Amino acid sequence: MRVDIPEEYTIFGKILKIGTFVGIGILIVSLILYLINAPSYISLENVIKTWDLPVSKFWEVNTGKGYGGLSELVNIQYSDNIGLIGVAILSAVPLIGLLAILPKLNLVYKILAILVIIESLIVIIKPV
Amino acid sequence: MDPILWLLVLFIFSLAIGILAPLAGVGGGVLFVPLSAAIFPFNIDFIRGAGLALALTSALSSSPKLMEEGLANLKASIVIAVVSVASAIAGSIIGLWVTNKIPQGKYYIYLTLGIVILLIFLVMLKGRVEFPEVKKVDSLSQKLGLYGSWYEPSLGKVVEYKFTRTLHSIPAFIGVGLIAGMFGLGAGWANVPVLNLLMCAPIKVAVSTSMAIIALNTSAALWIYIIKGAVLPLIVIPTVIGMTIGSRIGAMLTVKARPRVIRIIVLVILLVSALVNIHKGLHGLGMV
Repeated sequence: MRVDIPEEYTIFGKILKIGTFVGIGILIVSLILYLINAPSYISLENVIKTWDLPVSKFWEVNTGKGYGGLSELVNIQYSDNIGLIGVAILSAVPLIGLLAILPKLNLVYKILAILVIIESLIVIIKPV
Repeated sequence: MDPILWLLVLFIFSLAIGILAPLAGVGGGVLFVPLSAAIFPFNIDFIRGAGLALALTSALSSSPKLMEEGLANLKASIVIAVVSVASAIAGSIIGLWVTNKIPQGKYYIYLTLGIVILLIFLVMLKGRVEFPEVKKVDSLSQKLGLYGSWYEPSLGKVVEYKFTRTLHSIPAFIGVGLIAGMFGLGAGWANVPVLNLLMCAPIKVAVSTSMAIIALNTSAALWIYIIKGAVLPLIVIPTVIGMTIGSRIGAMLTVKARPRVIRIIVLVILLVSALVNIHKGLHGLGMV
């Protein structure tokens, strides 16, 4: 026996499923690249030597400058950045899911979902 | 240690946590963060980044099925996410600010993390109500249409439920989001009692809806860690993959194993890691 599930639930669930599959798939590719010693943005030896430092210091020591935020993700020639793209996709999945179900929601929920989307987008576009 | 060996150690570590967590009925992040902080040399910033990635992945993996079955209430998740996403973002910003701007900041985080884990330990000891009785639905929950139903195989019938006290639960979810972002925890340990005991959701609905809330919360908080560079692929990749595989094995074993014994083991692990983190914090601050 099954209960009637609203369409927005099914759409949201489907997007989470596909997004998770893609995100984890990219993480596996990145792991394989690590195992075959593909070049990484920061050498693995240096990562291990400095991973006890706070994040700001870690990037200062390893790159001579701070971390460049989202712009660092464009360097997809490095195995570690490919992994980061996988994590970024996983982080974007719930947001994409909310965007996809917007037309299916009633006005109150549309407003609430837009609020959640705006909160997340502010962080992505203009981080503190 | 060789980087490849680290990948292997982290994979096995998170695989083990992934197997244990579902058997004990806790989220992987709650075990991963305090244990890693207690035993591994990584900075707490990178541990919290990995903790959020773990919590997000397990919430993303389990939510679709729970939604298809009608157990996870998406409407309630959206209502709660409006406040908890904002507080999770604030928690992430404050958490990274403390470790990067305050001298000895990481020791304050160790100390408070230990205290939070002690709190989780106490929350886990408290009982839950399988089918709470809703005497009166408040007007806000009614206007928002916070109800649903699912087919419960153990009863052989469709169970209907209603949420109540939505407004009263908001401060609790603000606190939960703040803690989740600050310490990199999924916070199902706090969502579930609020949904179950305060909002009167049946336990299965509370656990499932909590997963949808975690997916929305942690995804926003994780962006802060990604943008600040606190997600180290060398740590995150093997742990996420290990945990994903481990939790599937754990879910299968739940049918055969004796969860009570495992739950006690996990409670002891939580207690010990809380005490180690508190000691680490106090020691670093020169208090012991």
